[in-house]
Amino acid sequence: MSPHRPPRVATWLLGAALTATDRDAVLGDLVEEHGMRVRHSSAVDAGHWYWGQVCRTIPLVVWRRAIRDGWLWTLGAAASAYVAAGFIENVGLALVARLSDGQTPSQPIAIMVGLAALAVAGYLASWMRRGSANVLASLIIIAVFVLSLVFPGRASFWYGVSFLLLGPLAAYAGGRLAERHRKGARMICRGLGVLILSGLVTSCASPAQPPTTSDAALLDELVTLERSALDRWVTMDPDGYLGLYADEITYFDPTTETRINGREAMRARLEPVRTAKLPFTEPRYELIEPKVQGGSDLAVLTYNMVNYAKLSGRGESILARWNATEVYRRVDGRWRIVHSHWSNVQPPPAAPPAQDRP
Amino acid sequence: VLLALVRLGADAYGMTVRREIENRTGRSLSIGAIYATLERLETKGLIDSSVGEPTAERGGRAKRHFRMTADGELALNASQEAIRRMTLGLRRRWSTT
Repeated sequence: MSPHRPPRVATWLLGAALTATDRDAVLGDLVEEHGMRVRHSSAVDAGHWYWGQVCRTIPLVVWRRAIRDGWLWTLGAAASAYVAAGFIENVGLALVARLSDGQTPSQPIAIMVGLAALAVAGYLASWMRRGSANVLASLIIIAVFVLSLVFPGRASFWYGVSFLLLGPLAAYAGGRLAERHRKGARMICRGLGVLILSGLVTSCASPAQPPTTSDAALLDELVTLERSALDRWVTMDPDGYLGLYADEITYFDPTTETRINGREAMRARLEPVRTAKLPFTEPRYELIEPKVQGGSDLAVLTYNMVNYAKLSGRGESILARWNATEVYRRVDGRWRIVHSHWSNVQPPPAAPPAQDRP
Repeated sequence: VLLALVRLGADAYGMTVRREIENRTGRSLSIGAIYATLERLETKGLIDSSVGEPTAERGGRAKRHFRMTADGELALNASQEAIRRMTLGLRRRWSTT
């Protein structure tokens, strides 16, 4: 810092915040008074005073510009478009799921739908206010970054990277398109508005029908897998379950003192079942109120089960009642059990020989 | 700010207005606050401004001179009259407490 010149960094910072019309007047006033203070006191005091003025003036100047130039409106338009992008993405994913008979969309398809939604949002933002598509692009970067920090591991690495790199580009491209077709943009936005409104009215008018088609399809798929394993299990054949278990399966039931880890450990545990002598005949089971929760790659299946069989000299009896939790994960495109937890319903049935799990 | 403009007359610009108020009131003010107020007053038509010649002591930057308009004088009169009426007869009360 020269003793007779004001701090350059401070001058540059304030100059960058000021508009061209105010810049000469404000900076000139400060430079003039700084020179006076250098002459009457000291360069150090004058420098401190100059920095103080700059630090107190910049927030005021930025706020005045934000109000005068409509920065808040631009930010509002971008934020609204971001919310709209979420809505459009969900509608798109639901449509894709419906078109593919309730199958949850794969990750590449989900990414494409998400990027298309962001491009439409960029178009909307630019239509609402010129330049807000660029702000939307910045919002996307911030949102993806923050979400990946707050919820690590919730989405795959490539999913996050795709949105971090391509999301802002999609919004920017949508904005550029809107700038070119401003009149056309108005018509498209009106059309989209009508579509969104109709969707909202339709969804509000329709009675709640849980689960959705997609959830129902997933439930069917997992219950079919579970039944195929149970049908073999009740005849003392563990291969159904062993075929369903993922390599990293973890397992609990009322007889395990510690968790069993891995398919090979499960194979060793279930091997004696094959040669066990059954004290009953005609075993069957009832699978009650299955429910699935989860998404495209991870799902939790829970249900209650009752085991029945005919004991010698008696009719059919209840052997055991179970609470079952099976955590499925999609591995190489196929559902596999990664965690299994079985617990007895209390009190146990009166019949003495409770069947081994399940 | 309007009173400072009256006092300064033709020499009223950002720096002198800021110093005038600071010297007379003892309050430290930023140049940003002065210009924010001047801009509001100009928007209301109470003052107007003109750009002077650049000078070396200002790093080659021009001054922006401000002066009060007729509307500004009316507003100042009205404001002073309002203060006078509101304070009429009160001086003794707050002096004795």
